[in-house]
Amino acid sequence: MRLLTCALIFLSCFGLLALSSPEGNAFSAEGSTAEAETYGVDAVHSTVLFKIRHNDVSYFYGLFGQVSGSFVFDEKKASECSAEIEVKAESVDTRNTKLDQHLRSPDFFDAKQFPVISFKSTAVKKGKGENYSITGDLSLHGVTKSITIDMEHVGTADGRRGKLMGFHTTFMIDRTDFGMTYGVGTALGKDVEMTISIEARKQ
Amino acid sequence: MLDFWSLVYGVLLPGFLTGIGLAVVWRPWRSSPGDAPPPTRSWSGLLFAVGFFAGCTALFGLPPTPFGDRVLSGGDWLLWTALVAGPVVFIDSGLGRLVLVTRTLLVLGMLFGVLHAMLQYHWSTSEAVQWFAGLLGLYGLVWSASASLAKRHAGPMVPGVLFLAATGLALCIGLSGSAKLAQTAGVLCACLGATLIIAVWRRSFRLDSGDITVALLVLFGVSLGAHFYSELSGFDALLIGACPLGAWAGELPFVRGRTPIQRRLLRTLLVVIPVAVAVARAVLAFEPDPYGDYGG
Repeated sequence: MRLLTCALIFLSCFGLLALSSPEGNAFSAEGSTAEAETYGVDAVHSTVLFKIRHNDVSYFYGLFGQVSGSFVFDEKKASECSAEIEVKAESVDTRNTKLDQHLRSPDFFDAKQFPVISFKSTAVKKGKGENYSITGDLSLHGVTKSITIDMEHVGTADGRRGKLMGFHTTFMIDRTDFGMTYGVGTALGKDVEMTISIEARKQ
Repeated sequence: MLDFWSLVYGVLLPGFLTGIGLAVVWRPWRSSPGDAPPPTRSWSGLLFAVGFFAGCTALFGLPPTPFGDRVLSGGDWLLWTALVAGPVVFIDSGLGRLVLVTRTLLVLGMLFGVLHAMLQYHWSTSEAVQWFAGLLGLYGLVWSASASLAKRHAGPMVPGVLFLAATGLALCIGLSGSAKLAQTAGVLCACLGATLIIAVWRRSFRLDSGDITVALLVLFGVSLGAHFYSELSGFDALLIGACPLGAWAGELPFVRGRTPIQRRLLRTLLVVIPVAVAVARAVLAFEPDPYGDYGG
């Protein structure tokens, strides 16, 4: 009897220890985390696209080739989450060298004077399902404005070199709000649709 | 891209403001120059500044204020510096030797304002010191030559040289990469063009050192912006910025001994050739837009 009691106590202690271990949480659902985790943006597998109306007849697409940043993600507490993304303005890429040069000039992004386009979150709220509403400061062309974007948590997986997480968002900005007025009212629209797809690796 | 309103705001408005202001001050319609003694203050500098600020504001909107929450571009800083420089040179002519201090501060202010992004993101400290020393020296050299010429020669020569330099600059920038900066140089052309018209009309018209300070401050500021932030080559910027030195070469002793026609011809060639070379280089390097027309 005493032996049985000791065995039960020993097993209970072992079970409690296993439950409280930060790594060996075998009883928790897959992918959920007990605390916030930091992820660094994978620049190779992340994409920043822009779309603008051209000549009022078509949509023109371009992308930025250099993106960096980090996320803090806590699946249980959205308020603990944060995001910081930076894009190098000179990395604008439209598959045409002359056009890229013009976009980097003072007529558009003025990349030498405003080399970084950044977004820093100030508040995160969980929406339905895997959607999050992120409010933050978008800095572009020397102007910083608060915007709110809806971001989808696409998924989480264990990669070969660590845990991976992906996010996707599409939002509109009025480029004239950021002092970018060239071509407005003639050949170029003022609304720009941004599509950002981020893959990040746990650090 | 040029359209009707760009021409109105970027050429007619600044030209009109500067020209009408100068006409009121200099009264070129007076038959005898003795009836209208020349002004004793830097009216041209003040009117350049007002015309330039008005033209650029009409084209691009009011620039953000320096101490707000927006980061100013080099072009924004140049506008504010020009607007401050106009009244400063108007007032400081009575300050004796302090004039050198105020005007050096204006030029330093222009350099810091236009080039602050280079200081912040691209240059090391030693690079910044070298660039500033070189640019300040070049400005001083061109300013000395221009002010000396203006002192010796009334009439359209000095305004003509500055107008030619500004026109060459506008053409080179327009052919090399930035419509916005080309329009900014165009506003300067309009102000200097109006000055040239008044100078042709009234032969006793003269720019003083304060006027030269403001005109060169804006010319240098636009050139530096176009070189560091757009595609204007350093060689072309140097050719254009230094063309007043060509006019000054007519004052050298071995040139002064020539006949007036020979001096005038040599001076003209030494001013026109550098600008023509810069424009020719820009034309040869120009590639038509393969991606179509952006419109405005």
